[in-house]
Amino acid sequence: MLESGRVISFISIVLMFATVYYMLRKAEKEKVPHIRRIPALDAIDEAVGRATELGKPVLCHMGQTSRGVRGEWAGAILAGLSIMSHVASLCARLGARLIVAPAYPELLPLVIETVRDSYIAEGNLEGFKEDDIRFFSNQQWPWATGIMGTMEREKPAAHIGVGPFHGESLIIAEAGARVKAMSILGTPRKSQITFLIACADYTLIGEEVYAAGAYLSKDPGQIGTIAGQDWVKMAAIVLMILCTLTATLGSDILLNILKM
Amino acid sequence: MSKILREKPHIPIYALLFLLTALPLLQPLGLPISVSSTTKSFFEIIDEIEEGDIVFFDINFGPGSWPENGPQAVAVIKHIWAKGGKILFFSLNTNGPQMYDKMMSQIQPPDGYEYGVDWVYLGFLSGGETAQAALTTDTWSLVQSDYLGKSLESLPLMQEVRSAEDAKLLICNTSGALAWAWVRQWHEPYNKPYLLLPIGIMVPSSAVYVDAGQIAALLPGSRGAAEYEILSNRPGEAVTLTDTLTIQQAFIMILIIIGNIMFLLERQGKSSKNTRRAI
Amino acid sequence: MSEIYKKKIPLLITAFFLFIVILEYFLAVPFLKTVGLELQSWAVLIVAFAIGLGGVNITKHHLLRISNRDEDWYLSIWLLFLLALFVVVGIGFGQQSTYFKWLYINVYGALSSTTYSVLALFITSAAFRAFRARNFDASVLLISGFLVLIGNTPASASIWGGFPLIQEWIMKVPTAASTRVIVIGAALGMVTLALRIITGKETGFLGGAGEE
Repeated sequence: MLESGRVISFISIVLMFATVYYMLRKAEKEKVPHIRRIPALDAIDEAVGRATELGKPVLCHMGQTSRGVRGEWAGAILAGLSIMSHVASLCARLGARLIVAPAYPELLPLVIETVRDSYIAEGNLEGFKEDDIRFFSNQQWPWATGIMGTMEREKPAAHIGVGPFHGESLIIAEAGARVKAMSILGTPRKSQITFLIACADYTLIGEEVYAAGAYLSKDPGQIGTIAGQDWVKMAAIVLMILCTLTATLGSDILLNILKM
Repeated sequence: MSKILREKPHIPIYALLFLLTALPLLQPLGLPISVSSTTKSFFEIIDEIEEGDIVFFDINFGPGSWPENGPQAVAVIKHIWAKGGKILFFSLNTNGPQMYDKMMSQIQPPDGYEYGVDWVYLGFLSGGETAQAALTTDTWSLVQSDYLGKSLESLPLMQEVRSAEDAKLLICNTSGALAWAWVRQWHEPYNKPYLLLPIGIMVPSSAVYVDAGQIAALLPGSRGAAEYEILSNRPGEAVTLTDTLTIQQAFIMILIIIGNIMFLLERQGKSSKNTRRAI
Repeated sequence: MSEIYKKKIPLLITAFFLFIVILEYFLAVPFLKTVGLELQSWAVLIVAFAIGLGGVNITKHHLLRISNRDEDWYLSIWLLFLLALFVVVGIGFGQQSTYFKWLYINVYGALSSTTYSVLALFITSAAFRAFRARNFDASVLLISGFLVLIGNTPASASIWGGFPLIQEWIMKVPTAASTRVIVIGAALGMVTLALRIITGKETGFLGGAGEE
């Protein structure tokens, strides 16, 4: 029934789902677990506020990857969408201009609808400008060029981008630094994190990207899932230590079990 | 000058960088190139290819990263053909076909080599990791004709290829996408060598896979391409760019030192001002 | 009713297909494999149509810039001309034609390489600005970055054979360790996000309609 080589992975996923779901229900019924502050997410309010005070726009995007939501980074793109929705609500509330540059044409209608609904929810439909939702390209370098051009022309005060990045991450981060925009960037892609840390004011690293939606919503159930994830991480650490010990002692038994 | 360096440092930096990049291209300096153990490992694996061995070659990058990925591919393909190997090219990137055309315009196939017999290009295969899985388990199920529209039945090389079992090794020439998926779809199920031709910034994240043996070897960016050209005695585009690379990296190191000296002097100036105010 | 259309139905569809794709990976059921491949084809088709939508968005935006005579409006004319040229040549002569290949290599290829090359400039200015010994952590980053930079320079082994060895150690030990940590953490985060989507908890991507 199960594909060979994926039995243990399947069992792990089921156990993980069970643990996280248990913590979700526990947080909804009992005490909400305390999770640490994520400075980059807390800084979003400050960034939008800064843009409002300076009378400059906020530039928001969800990174770029050629396979879009069909690929392995769909989760990161959705996380970026959640953050974009939050930013749209803030901009609508504070009256800041929002420019969104999605690199995924298949998400364009969703982005337009999400931003419009955020403005409607804040009672500021007249502040919504569909022309400020700009698709440059789904290709890496044309999109990066579009972002650079928008930075130089519009001179945003805040640059918020969370999602998968490739080589263009340094270009857009540095372009934001050049116009003195407050940059909040985040990616789960390990090869790009270093560039964002070097150039952005605030960075979301790895799993912080996926936790963003839960963190910003402040929903007890969603925060419970982050706590559940940490329990799974503990189990993974214990397993790693056991595997290291058994491998060091010359036994492959644990590794062979995990490869089932 | 220090005011410009503080407020608009990019003006003198970019101007100097432009000069330092252009000059070695116009007048090569012949700076030494040391060959790393990483490149030697890659070379040794390709050197073991025998006549008739089939190599799967994924052209998975776009024109933006040609300066890094292009010379790598050209150097390696020349080596494989010199050893008598055959190559099944394909692309999981929409820009792949154009990169294949550009590559082929720079490589002269050895005498007697013929398209369809010694190499085939399947074109762009959509589907990402699903396409990788299909390609390795049953190649003919994924695609019925090659890049030029010829049916697979009419291509002699394709009669020898049904799945990954018929190949000696896989080479993925990529600027990032799907590199790690090949570990799952090639190395883990078939335990065959997986060689990576990545751009420079992918090297740190590739190190974990090389350490674990999941990637047999990699050629790091244009520097790796230059080293490979030297090892295989076929200097090309990458070697001519290496002088520039060396000068650029030396320039960045000098800038970092200058930046830190300026920062420390500023900090000392501020703390002595504070001391004077306190007094 | 509006909440059902804008929230419940999209969440249901998302959760259903997410479930199918997860099961397709783990279960050796031919029907699921077929469904998974079919979904991939649907996704490719949707993106193909969406590219057209993106093209309409670009055209609309730049026509507005031209009619309003915004800053650099003449560049919008050039962009629309190139867009039309690629479409006409690609459809009229085919992607395999010499004309399209020439356009692709000499316009798109050249411009892509140019933008990629801007990385060299930006890396330099970012290194000058960011690599400062502000505190202990920044100093460690500075020293290790510097050593890796020296080790990566092609001529470094000629100066001292130890530089490449130090660079290799830094890449293989601390860098590889931290890379693994980030990968494992991100993978766990992705699975948790998937669960939140399946249970309908994650509604942030639905925008204002998703909020209570």
